[in-house]
Amino acid sequence: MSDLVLKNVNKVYDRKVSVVKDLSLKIEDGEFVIFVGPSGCGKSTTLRMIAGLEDISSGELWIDGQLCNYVEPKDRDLSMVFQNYALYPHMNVYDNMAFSLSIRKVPKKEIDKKVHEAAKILGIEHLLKARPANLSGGQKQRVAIGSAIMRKPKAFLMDEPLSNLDAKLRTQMRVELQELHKKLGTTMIYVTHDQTEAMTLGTRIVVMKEGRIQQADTPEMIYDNPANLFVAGFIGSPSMNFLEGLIRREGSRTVFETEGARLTIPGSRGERLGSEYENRKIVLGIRPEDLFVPGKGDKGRRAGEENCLVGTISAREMLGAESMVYLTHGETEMAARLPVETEGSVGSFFSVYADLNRAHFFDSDTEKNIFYEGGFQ
Amino acid sequence: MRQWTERLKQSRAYLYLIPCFAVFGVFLFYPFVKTIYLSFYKTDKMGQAKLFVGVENYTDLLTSESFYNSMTVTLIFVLIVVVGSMLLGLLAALLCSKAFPGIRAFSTAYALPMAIASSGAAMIFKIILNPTIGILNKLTGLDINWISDPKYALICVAVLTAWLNSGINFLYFSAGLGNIDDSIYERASVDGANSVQKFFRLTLPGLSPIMFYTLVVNIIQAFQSFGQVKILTQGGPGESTNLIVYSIYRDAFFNYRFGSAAAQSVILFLIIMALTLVMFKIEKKGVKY
Repeated sequence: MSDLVLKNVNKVYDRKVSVVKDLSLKIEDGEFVIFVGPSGCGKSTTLRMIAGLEDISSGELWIDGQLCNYVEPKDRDLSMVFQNYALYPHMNVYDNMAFSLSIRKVPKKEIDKKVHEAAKILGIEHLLKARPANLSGGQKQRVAIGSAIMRKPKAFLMDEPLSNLDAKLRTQMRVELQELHKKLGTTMIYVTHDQTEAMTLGTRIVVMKEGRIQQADTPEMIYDNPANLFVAGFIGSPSMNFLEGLIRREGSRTVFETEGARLTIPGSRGERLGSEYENRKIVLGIRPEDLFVPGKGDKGRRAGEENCLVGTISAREMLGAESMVYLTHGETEMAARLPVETEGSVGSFFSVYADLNRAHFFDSDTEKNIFYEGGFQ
Repeated sequence: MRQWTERLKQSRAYLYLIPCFAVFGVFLFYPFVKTIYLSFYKTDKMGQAKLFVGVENYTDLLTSESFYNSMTVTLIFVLIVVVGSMLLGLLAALLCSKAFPGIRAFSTAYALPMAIASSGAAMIFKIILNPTIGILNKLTGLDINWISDPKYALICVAVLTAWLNSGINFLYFSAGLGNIDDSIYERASVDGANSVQKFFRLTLPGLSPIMFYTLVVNIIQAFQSFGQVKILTQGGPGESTNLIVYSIYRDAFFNYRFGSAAAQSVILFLIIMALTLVMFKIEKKGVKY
């Protein structure tokens, strides 16, 4: 069993620039954990601290119950795939893959067997004699992964391994990585800025911003129950629509009042908002797919005055199975994922309805999700 | 008419090459051809060819003990200089590839020997190696007459030359090290390699292209060393530091045997050319990347 625990880990450069702040996380054996966040959020630095390529400024790193802050990278028994693949340019593919074993003085026969096994899994058997300079991006990436899976390390660390590939290859490699994880069952820690990769690959996603963990949870929970405004906006494509407005009480109803719309918030959430946030500003977040027009594709959702949003169509995108409609109303911009046959051309006035049971509400000041349900970290 | 102007235009290109060919001609091609020419003649004291003797100058050399001694001394010298200067340069470059305060001062110090004239350095070494007042004997407590002892003279000259040549090697190797991607070292650390393994499996192969170039340049340079011998030992004691270039100088300007000196020059040229060709052949097979 290889648990990996980060306890209040900090990374400070030159005693001034703080890149990772008070990061605590427990990664269980066999998990596929994704660190995701915008550039400069400290995710790569965190991975490099786990690998031992960066010193930990303060805090503790435990691997397998052993404090590893001061353990040399070579003694941590991890495997890493780098963003630029870091293949040894003067060695052919075979020697690249064999490197980690040959420096451990593993018998040649065994190395040979393992190299061929790994090459077979990744479909690069025909490339074993080639030099890295003669490989394509996708092939290099496979070689890098192949080199990483030669040993059975405590964990695989991957630093944006797919970012240099074209879209098609990336999708394909994503599937292969998933299968690989299933096959090997080893812990994987994966860094990416691509939220699609994060959603599709991870058993757990760690969303980071400015060196802090914003939320660490399963992809479903992150998507349906974002901890704060940042997570809600970062995960999902196109991102969640945000409307700023005031909470009003009108008799027993709780109304969210925003520019050009008055939305009635249903159920117990409405009651709680009404009592706690009356006359206060909040941010309502609603995903593009939770907007609808009555008719085909409304999934039986009810359209009415109390959940109607209006605006002018600023752009339309045909995505094949559905189309994205972009609306503007004053300062507010919204995106709606609607059936292809939805009428309305650019420039025309348009009404769209919100499924308010699926809306998210954020405190304007703290930016936290008002109805956030725990989750584990 | 048009043809004429066309031709004129074309020949104008050669005009631009004249300065370059003039310089090469005066300082390179003419002396080179003249040397070969002289090597077939006996000359007078002014170096004028007087008597055609065919290959006699060469056969004389090949039967002369002094020439064989010169060759042996030169080979030993080249070996010490090349190995020494490359090791020194590589070591300095490795030390300076890490970032630490004052690195620029160190880099300058290591590169400095290439800016020092060989005769100037030889003067300094002459004092350092002086048996009575030299700092080397004072520091080590030894009592060795470094320059006058046939056992040590060649080594002294060779070490001095190795140090002089190490400056440029330091620059070559620093550039070579800069070309090696840092991330392969990071991958190697995670893969479990220790620093010795990293050096032999990543650094050395990564340096191999520049290593080859440096080797060729160093060998050629070492064969042509002159100033330090002239100042430090004048070929002595006996003939123990009579390197081939110094022997050429001595034959020409002390013994006035320009023909013999020219023949030695031609042989030196052939040796260096052969070595270079052999090394380029090896390079095609051996150097990685």
